Amino acid sequence: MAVVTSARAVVRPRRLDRSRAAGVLLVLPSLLYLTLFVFIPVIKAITTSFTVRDRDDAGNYTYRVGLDNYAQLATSETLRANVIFTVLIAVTSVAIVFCIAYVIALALRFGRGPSARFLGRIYIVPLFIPSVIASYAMITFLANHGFVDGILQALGLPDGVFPKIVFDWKGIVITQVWLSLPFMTVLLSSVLLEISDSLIESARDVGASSWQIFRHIVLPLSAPGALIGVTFMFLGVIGGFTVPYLLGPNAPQMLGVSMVYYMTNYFEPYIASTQAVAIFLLSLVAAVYYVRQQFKREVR
Amino acid sequence: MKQWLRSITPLAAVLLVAAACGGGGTPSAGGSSAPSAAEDKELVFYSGGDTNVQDLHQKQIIPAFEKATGIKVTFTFLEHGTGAQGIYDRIKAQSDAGKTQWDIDLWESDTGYYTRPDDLFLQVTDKDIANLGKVPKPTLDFVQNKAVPYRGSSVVLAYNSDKVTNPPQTYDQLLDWIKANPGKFAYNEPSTGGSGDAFVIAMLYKYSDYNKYVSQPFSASNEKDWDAAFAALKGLAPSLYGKGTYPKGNAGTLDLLNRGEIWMGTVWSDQSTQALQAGQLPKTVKITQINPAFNGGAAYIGITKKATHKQAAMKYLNFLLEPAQQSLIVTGAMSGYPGIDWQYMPSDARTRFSGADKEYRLWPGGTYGQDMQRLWHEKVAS
Repeated sequence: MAVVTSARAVVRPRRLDRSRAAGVLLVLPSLLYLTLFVFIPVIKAITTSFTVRDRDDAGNYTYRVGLDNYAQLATSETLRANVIFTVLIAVTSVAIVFCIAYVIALALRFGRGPSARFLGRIYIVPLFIPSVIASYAMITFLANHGFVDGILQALGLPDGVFPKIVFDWKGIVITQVWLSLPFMTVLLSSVLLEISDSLIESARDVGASSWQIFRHIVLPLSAPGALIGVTFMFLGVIGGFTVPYLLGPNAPQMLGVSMVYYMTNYFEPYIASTQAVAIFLLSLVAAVYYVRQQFKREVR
Repeated sequence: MKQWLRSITPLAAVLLVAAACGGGGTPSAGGSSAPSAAEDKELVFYSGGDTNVQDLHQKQIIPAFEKATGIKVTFTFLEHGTGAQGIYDRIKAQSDAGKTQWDIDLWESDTGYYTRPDDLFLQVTDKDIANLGKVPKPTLDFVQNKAVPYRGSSVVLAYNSDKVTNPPQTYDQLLDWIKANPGKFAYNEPSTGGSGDAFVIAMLYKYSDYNKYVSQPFSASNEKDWDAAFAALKGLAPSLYGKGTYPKGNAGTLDLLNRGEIWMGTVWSDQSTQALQAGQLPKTVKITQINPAFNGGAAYIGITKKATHKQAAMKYLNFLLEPAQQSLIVTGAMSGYPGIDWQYMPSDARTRFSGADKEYRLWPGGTYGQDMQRLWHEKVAS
């Protein structure tokens, strides 16, 4: 016994050293990746956003450092409208997805019988459809004189009454909701699965109503996980391109679309970078929240 | 060398180019050192673009040219401009090294390359290439005669002939028609496709002066004229499809025409003609051109300044501009406009674009184009 202990005492520090070196080796690729593809581009975008380009009558450029791009972001009606529009779309889509996904997740968690099982199989479908295809499908489906409008008109709806959904904010929200629903539902389901049946049964035994169980047990216990899902989706919608590009209005534009236009069509990489920083700051709010939640979890 | 070059894939060609550039003007064995004064027996032709461009040269023009002249053509094709900059650098490296016989004779690429200050392309006139006399002068001026426009396309007006019996003849008539038929006209968002740009550009030309933009250097002060044009476009919005809904992309306008949502719109000549032929548009859709025309553009081929086979290169371009070859472009899969004036074209080629077989106007693009698209978004869309 004593021999074993002493042997352990000798071996242990060596093992620790080795595992430390292995740890560094394991972290190195991801650190390298982060540096090359995240840190450097972010720093570059930030420096670019402080570069101001002036143009003379003949079209020659001169460059200087300044805050003009940010001033333009704040004062230009078009750009300001784009920022507000992006936030509104993200908040609306996330709120709607959250409500629907929560109901589906509840049904999957507590529902019994064939309808819950059917729901459990079908809700995942949009996860396997690329956003480009979903967007084009939504256009043909929801356009004026499209599929839905056609059916409603056959049922007696007068021509021209069907609201403008495609090329409008409604089109973006509907498609984002449709695309994000499975992910949010999967996440909420796993959060709800963590709540043990015994907790709910014991509450029921002492006479709690379903509403009371939901209000005082299910909701508080699922809140931290659910908010992480909300954070993820918010980040996804705020930086999205395909859906707002194909289904959105001509103006205002979501930042993802506007950024691409400024970069490739208007040849204004400096304004584009400033918008990128704006997206980055908006995301940062969500990211800080996410990191704090993760930290709390680990402490727990 | 020639056999080998012909058999390699475009990918290998890119590697070859990269290798040539990396070497900083490595002497290439591509051109045989026959003096160009004597009859050229071969021709080295680099091209790029869509596969229909490749098919046109490789399957139709080159075999006919080789048969007619006995000149062997070495044709290298790089799809979609991949490596275009590499080819340019390769030509420039030979120029920088002071070589007198460059190994690429003909190069087909984006228009901007031919007029770069490096001055790598030969200025040609109808004394060198007889058929250049048939080419509309503005398209040659556009590249300072340093390349030959051999095909083109233009934005035209497409209309549903069931609903529209007398299509507008001028831009002003078109504006009147739009106001008289609210919701029945659309042009696509300018940044998403050139046919939408053309409608906006026609408005800019209405309130500014076309001559300020053709063969003139950029001047930001010209853009002062644009305010009135954008105000007019903004005022037009309530009469447009969806009270100012601008479809996305050139195909967006075609889609609205196809679904009967609109009766008229601006479209590309080649895209709409191909769609009509493929049955993707109803036969009732017809195209026409207003006067003065919407803008269009040409595709060019340039002869390098110190080409080893200058005579053969000129012969090829002259051959390409013959009405017989030009007809292949118009009636074939390309559905292109001819490089030469429509008046020299046989009638069967003209009927393919009947109503729109007219000369187009030009648009300098570049900085003007970038500003036009941004200002449209700021002043018209919002």
